[in-house]
Amino acid sequence: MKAASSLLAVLLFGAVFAGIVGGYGERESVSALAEQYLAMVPRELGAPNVVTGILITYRGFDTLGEVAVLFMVAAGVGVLLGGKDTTTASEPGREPRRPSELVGNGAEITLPLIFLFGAYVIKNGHLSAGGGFQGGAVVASGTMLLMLALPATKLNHGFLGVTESLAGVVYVGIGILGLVFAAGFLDSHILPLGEFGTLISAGAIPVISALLGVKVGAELSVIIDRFRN
Amino acid sequence: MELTGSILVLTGAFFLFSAGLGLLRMPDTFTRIQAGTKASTLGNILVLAGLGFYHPDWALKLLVVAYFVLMTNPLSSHALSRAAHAIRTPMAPSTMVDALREEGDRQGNGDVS
Amino acid sequence: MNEQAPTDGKGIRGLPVLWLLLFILWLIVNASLATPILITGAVISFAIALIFARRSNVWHIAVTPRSAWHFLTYTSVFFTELVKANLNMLRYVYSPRIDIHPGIVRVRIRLKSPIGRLALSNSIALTPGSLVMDVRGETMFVHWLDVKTTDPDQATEMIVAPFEKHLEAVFG
Repeated sequence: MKAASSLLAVLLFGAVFAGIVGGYGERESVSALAEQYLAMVPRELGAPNVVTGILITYRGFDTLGEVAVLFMVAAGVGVLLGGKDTTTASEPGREPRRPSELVGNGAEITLPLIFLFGAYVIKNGHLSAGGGFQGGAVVASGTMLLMLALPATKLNHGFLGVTESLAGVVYVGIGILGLVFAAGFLDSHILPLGEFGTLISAGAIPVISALLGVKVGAELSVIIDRFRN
Repeated sequence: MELTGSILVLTGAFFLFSAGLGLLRMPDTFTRIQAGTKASTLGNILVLAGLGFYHPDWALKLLVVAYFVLMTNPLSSHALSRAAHAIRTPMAPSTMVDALREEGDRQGNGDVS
Repeated sequence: MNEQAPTDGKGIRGLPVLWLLLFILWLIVNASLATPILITGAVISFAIALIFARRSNVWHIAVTPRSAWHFLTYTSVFFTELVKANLNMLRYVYSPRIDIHPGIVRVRIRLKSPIGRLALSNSIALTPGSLVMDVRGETMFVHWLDVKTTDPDQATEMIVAPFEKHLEAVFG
C-alpha cells in the first residue's frame, strides 16, 4: 500500500515535471525596454554585464537604499542580540563538544580559497555574472564556515565596523563626485570608460562594486556573528 | 571528443544514482554516509572530466573544482558522522565493534568529550 | 617542520606557499594574463595569504622535487583506490541482500602535520569501506564497512599504510 502510494506520488511528480520541461522554450525576442538597455549599457557605460550596469548606475540610488536597509538590519540585530558578551559555554554539566581537529584544519585550507573566490566575484561585477552583493555573500559564507569549524575564533567587530562605515562613506562620496563632475548622483562617468571588457573599464562601476562587496561582506559577517552568541 | 565526454558524464550520472540507491539501501546512518561519500565523489569527478572534454578551455578551472570536491566532500562526511556518533545515533544490529564508544566510556563520560 | 604547536600566531613561514597557491588559482579562475589582472591578483592573494598564514600552521609545507614526485605517486595510488572503492560500493549496493558487518576500529597514524593528517583522513574516507570518525592524538577511529580485524596494528596495515608512506614524504 505504502509502496503503491509512493509510486503514485513519483509518477505524478514526474508528469508535472515532464509538463514543465516539455513546455519550456527559449524566448525568441526581448521586450522593447530590455532591448533598449541591452544596447545602451555597453555603449554608454562600457560594461558587458548589463545587470550590474543598471544596478549601479541607472538605479544607483535604489542600490544605495538597499545597502542602507542591510545596514539597518545589522544595526537592529546588534541592538537585539548584542550587549551580553558572556560565553554561552558556562552552563554547568554541559561542556561543549571538542571541535573536530580535521574540520578545523580543512576550514583553514578552504577559507583562503573561499575569500579569493569572493574577491574574484566582486572584482568581475562589471564583466560577468557577479558583483558586490554576490561576492559579499560569498565572503560572509566564508565567515560562517570560520565560526562553525573554529568556534574559538573571535571576530574583530571594531575593525569590521570601521571598514563597513568607510566603504559606505566612500560610496556616498563617489555619488557626490558624480554630482559635481558628471551628470548626476552616482554617475559612473567620473572615471574614463577604458577599453571595453577589460578589468579597468566602465568608469566608476568596478570601484562602486568593490565598495559594495566590502560593505555587504562586513555587514553579513557581523550579523552572523551576532547570532552566534 | 564529444562522445568521450558524453560517456564520462553518463558514467558519472550512474555513480551518482548508485549513491542515491546506497543511501536508501544501507542499514544505518554511518554506512549510508559511506555509500553517499564515495559514489558521489567519483560521480562528480567523472561529470567534471566529461565537461572538460566538451570544453577543453575550461580544463584548469574544472581541475580546481575537482580538487575542491575532493577536499570538502570527505570532510563534510566526517563532520556528519562524527556528530551522529556523538549524539548516539543507533548503529546497525550487525555492527561488530565500536572502539570509539569504548574509548569514550573509558574516559569516564558517556558523551564524547 | 613538524612542531605540533597549535597556532602560535606569529609564524609566517607558510606565506610564500599560500601566496603562490592563491596567485595561481587567481590566474586560473580569471583565465587571463593581462597586466591589471596580474597586479590585482598579486595584491589580493598577498593580503589573504598574510591573514591566513598567520592564523595557523597548516601551510608550513616545504616544496621539494622529492615531495612533488611523492605527491604524484600518491595521487595515482589514490585514484586507483577511489575507483576500487566505488566498484566495491556498487557490489554492496546492487547485491540483493546487503551482507556487511560494520564497526569502528582504531588505527595508529604517524603523520604529524595538520595538512598531512587531513589528506590522510580524506584518502581513507574515499577508499574501500572506511570513514574517519574521530582523531585523538595518534589514534584515529575509523568506521569500517566490513570489519576484518579489530587489532589496531593489522587494521593500520590494511587501511592506512598505502597512503601514509607517500604522504609522510610530502607533508611530514
